[in-house]
Amino acid sequence: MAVLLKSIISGTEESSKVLLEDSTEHNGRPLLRNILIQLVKRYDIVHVLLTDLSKDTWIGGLSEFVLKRIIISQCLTDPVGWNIKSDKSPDILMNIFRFPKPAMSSSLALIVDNLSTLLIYYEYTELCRTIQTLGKSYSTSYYLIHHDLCEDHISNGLHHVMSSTIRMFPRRNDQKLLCSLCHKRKSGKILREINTYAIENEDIICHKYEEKNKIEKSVEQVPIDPTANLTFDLRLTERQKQDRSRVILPYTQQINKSGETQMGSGLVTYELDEVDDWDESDPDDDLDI
Amino acid sequence: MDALLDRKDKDDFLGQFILISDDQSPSDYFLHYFISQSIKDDYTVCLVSVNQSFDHYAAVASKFSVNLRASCSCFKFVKISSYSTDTDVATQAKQTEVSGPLDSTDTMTDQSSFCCYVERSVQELYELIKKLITTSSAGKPSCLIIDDISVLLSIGISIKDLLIFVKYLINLLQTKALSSLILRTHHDDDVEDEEERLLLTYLTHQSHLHLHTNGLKTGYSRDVHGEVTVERRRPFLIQPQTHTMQYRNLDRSINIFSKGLSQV
Repeated sequence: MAVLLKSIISGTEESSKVLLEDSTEHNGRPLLRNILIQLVKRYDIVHVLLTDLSKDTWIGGLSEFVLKRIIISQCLTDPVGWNIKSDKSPDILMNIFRFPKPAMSSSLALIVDNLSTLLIYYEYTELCRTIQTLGKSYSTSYYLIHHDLCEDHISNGLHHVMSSTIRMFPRRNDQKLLCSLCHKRKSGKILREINTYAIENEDIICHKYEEKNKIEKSVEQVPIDPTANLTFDLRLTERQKQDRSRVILPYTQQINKSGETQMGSGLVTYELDEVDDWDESDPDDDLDI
Repeated sequence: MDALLDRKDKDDFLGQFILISDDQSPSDYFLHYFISQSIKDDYTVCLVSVNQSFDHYAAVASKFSVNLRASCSCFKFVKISSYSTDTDVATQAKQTEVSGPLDSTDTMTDQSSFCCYVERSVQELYELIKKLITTSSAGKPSCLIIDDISVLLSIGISIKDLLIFVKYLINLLQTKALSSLILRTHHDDDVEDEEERLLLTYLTHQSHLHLHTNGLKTGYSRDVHGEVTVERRRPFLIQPQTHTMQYRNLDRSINIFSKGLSQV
């Protein structure tokens, strides 16, 4: 079973705009830089826009192979013109993302480190619009943001614009590095996963966290029987379960009736897949109310 | 202190942004340590103070065996004032330009080392700092210390302007115009001040070394005055290297020990 983080980074799961949300406790830059190393293998040129770190600091430790395929631009070195002593207003946001024009057939990717600093100078609505526009020029783009500096409405607005969001969790004790992913496929299907990751040399090793968690949960849940010490019986015998399954509920009857009248006109069936969470006792539990 | 900060050489803090923050427990000792240590290490120090006088820093520095009055060739002091009682000082500062000589209650052997900045824009404060650093460093490494930057929020500077100001200071550090940047800020966890929290978080993201002091969760103790957490942050380190110690302020120094190992 493919791990979502790996699928997004490797490109098997197509994602045009990815948001990485980190915090003071879990720095997203190491992952971002490793993503860059994966991107240069698939794209002709990767544009990197820096708002905080200097170029030298950012490229330190990158191989010659990677350096040849990236174009780095450091912005906001004098955002409001204090160094030239003028009341300069910040550049138009789109101008910040101006890189040298590549050859016509080049495939391009973009990395931005990071949006939090841009949000000091620009309205988030303008930023969202710019990200949408940039989506036409780049096959894929990755944006880092410090979510602990971000107000909820800004965070939500960015989530709408992005095709995938990766939020890093703070690590507790010896726990593995965790991130929660939300990926929107072009078909409209939304995939959610929690993955663990580790960076080893130039590779990212990812695993699903949920599965392990489920196993742990089931192990924990086996010995707990809430019906064990009750003064009345809540358990059903096999026979009772069979009897219950034979009861025809009003809505199933309705379906059968309509099925009879439309005999031969085709049948729509829905097969549950791994993402669907069908719980008859609470059919609305997947709604975010 | 050097052991706590894992400091082996005087150049260890070159190019570093050091953040000192406190929550319920003052971080004064750590601030004064950096002021005195920078002068001992032969840095040109520019100290921007919002609420303390020069005499206060001089008195504390003397406990660290540093004479601030005698170090004026490499020590620049900028006092930020927003109080009406300082109007005379402000007027004189304006008459003699911001970096001109000043006759005030703050006496120094070299009066030109004293500046007063009153209710002006952060842009002018930045220009003043930049001018002081570039004109007085004379080839020596320079260190800027601001005590305390969160108070600027209280005197009417917006959070946006303050973050832009910090961004410019960090740019000075990146272009090597400044060798070391030390900012002190304050945020109490139990007070809902969103701007102070935002400032602290922003500064934490940008810092290389973060010293945070807080009171004991169990309440006031006569023998243990608080905890200090040292976070070593690097741009490509996934998580900061953190260790927490407890401390007790003494008359002229501080006693730092591992948690639960108070000798009293």
